Amino acid sequence: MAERQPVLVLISEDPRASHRANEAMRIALGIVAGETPVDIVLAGPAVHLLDEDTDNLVDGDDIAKFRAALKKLAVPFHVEEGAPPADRSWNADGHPVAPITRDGIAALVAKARRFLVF
Amino acid sequence: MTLLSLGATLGPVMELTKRKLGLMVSTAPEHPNLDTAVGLGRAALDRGAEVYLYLIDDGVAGVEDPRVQALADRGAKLFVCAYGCQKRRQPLSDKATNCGLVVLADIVNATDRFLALN
Repeated sequence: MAERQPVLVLISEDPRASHRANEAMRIALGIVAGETPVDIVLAGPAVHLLDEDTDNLVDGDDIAKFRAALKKLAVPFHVEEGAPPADRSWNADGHPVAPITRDGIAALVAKARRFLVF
Repeated sequence: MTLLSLGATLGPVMELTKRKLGLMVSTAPEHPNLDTAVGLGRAALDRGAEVYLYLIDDGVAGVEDPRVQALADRGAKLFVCAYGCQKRRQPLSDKATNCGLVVLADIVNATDRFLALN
């Protein structure tokens, strides 16, 4: 039986400025909960979804809750290379992350079945 | 007089019969995305497809929009994110199925085409 193709959730909204980054992560969590494989990519400022201090993020309490649920489910984030801040407090919770290049994102797009782009 | 006598063929008309189109809209009703979704839904219904429209995030405000209800009156299945309504203190509507993300995951998985308008 062929491997199930994943849903790709690509988030590039800035959670410091818009609630939509959190909403995209919540939707990704919902689809994972439906037992569909999901690839989550954080591009550009969306990497701030992994900031230690969520007080500066829109819907920060929800972000902490949803990303903790994704961590519990061992769902990694693909993080665009060069996007994470140098601040060592970034991803203080140790969420599994994998750096990814633009070409790598394109490769994920090529193997995905559905796309949610925020 | 039949369509066939006018040179029309049933092929293109029947092409989408029984096929399923999933649409997700996360933007407010004023955004052109809703017009796009309604137009696509209408065209799909014209051609015999089943249409599933899921309103989420700012899109929940469009649940009773006449354009959306006209689509539902024609047979489109309409779903609205209950969490999004609750967060916006928007009363639940009896003109749509109020539901959670597992339903969205089902739509993502079960439709022949799925389009997310963010």
